[in-house]
Amino acid sequence: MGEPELPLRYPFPLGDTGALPPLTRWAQRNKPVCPVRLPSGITAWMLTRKDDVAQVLADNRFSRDLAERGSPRMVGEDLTSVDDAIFNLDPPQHGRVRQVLSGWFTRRAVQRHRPLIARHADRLLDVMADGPNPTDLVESYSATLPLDAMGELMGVPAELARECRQTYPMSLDLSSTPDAVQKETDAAKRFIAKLIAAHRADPAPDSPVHELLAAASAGVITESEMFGTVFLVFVTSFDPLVAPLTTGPMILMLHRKQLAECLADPQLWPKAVEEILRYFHNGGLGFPRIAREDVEVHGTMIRRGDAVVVPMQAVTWDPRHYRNPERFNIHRATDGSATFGAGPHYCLGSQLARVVLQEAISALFHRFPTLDLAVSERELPWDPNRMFTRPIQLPVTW
Amino acid sequence: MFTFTRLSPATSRDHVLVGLSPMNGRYTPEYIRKLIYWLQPRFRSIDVILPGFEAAYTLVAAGQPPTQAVRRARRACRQVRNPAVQALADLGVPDAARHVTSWTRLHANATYRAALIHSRRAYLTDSRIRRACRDMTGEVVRNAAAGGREIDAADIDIAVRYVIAEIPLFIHGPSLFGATESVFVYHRPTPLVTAIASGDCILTAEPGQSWAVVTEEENNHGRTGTSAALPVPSR
Repeated sequence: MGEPELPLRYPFPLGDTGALPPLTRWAQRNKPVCPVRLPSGITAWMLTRKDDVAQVLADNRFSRDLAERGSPRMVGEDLTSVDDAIFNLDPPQHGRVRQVLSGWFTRRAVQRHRPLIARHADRLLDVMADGPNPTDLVESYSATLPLDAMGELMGVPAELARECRQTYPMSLDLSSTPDAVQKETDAAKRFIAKLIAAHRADPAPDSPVHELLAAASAGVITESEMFGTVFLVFVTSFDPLVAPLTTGPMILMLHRKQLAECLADPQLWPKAVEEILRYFHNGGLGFPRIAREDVEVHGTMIRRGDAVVVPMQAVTWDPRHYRNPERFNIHRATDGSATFGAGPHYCLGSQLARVVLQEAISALFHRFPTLDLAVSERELPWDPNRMFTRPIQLPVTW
Repeated sequence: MFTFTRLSPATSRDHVLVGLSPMNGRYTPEYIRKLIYWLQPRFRSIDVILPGFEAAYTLVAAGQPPTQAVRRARRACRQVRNPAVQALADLGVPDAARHVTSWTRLHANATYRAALIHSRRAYLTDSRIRRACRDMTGEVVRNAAAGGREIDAADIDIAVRYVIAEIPLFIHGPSLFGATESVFVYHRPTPLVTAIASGDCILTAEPGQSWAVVTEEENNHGRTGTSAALPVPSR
């Protein structure tokens, strides 16, 4: 591609079948600190090399605190505008709140949820088997499973189940208006307020909500930190899972030899999930960070107050660290960890996400080993405005 | 030569959306080429729409195994898509392939998605829309069923998704294709378009939407055929 006009305008045209957008690849090669105009009109610095991203995400000179009005946003007052949410906290406040939840989300702790995920997966696959063939996998499975399974895991009471389905997944739509984004955020806040009241009236032990409520009661965290963090836990319980539950089956159907290997040797499913996590977007550019002071990166001065964004797919496609990154290969020695970020804000739910994806994707293909796309992959509808990028519909047959 | 009969009084030549039916024997490569050659110069812009994956439901309802139905539907779509792309390319339309799309791809468009939800609701709540959808579906499935197989209500339940998924194209052409005005053309009037155009149902077309029937004139000893379609006012 030729020299694009700077600043680049986000969202970028997507790569074929979810590959790295060509403009991101161009920036990685030619402009490692690249100005990008966000839909809100703000210009941010985009970093695309794994080493730079790891350095900046671990650097306390870059703040995550976006709660103040007027902070740089993707579109409008989105989830980063919620006061004291764990997303918005900098050390040491961040570490204190994270500590409340970290025991619940460890690799060992989340293994106990496998039967719950498998139970919901099996139930949905029973329904799918009895329903129309072909079908849209997103509607039948990928978007439904997180709502059902994570809803139970997060302790959504029966009386709020319907409202939960109306609230999540949030659209996180980059073509939206600031007003619509504000409304979506406000609706989620109202849901979370009701959820917290329900948990206080009828505690549901062994859930992150319970841990946060207990910590607030004990004075370990503030009421505001509790509310903001429940809000964040809920957003991240649904939206970021729908995308890999869609792109994962898609890419495996397009690589049938590797799919057959997984079916023959179920030990390979975790490897397949790692490669799915590496290959696809995990939230586009993410949300901005702000420089607290002037910082020079690759000869470019990032001024105090400037916004910085990091597309994690660029990190997991950095050819300095991943050989032939455009090739989907479940046998890589590298895993998908980098997609979850770096530094103190490394995704708290990364191990739970792996458990959900391993259980859900293996259950899908063991039930329907002949599952295949019902349209050409060229016909799949990708919406570049979706923060968690995926085909909006995935027609399949078996 | 073709006869162009508007089903609404609009006369705009802003945009034309051509509906192709892959499993209708009329849509041969030659017919598609002639149709597009005839329409393209008469409008500022042109798009061609093909069915989404729901086309396979017609064959499933007609008794075919799903994987075979999907394979046949995909092949049929390819067979109409390729001549349509070629015709547009030959006419010099830039990026011709982009102008021939299935409604599966339109799911990337928020307007299509919202209109589909609305269309499903209309099917469930408006008896005229429901009847039109089921009548059209029954006709298509009966044509696809081999050996005089009887079609029942359960078959219609499966295949009606095809017709419902097409409804947004009848009512939101301008928004979906970035035009001020858009005319949807097909080779015959359908009960669904007639119901929408009458304004006597729950579905309303957006401003600038109109419909037309295009029929090929048969050169039969100097006589030319005409469409039986009657003008219907747009609401």
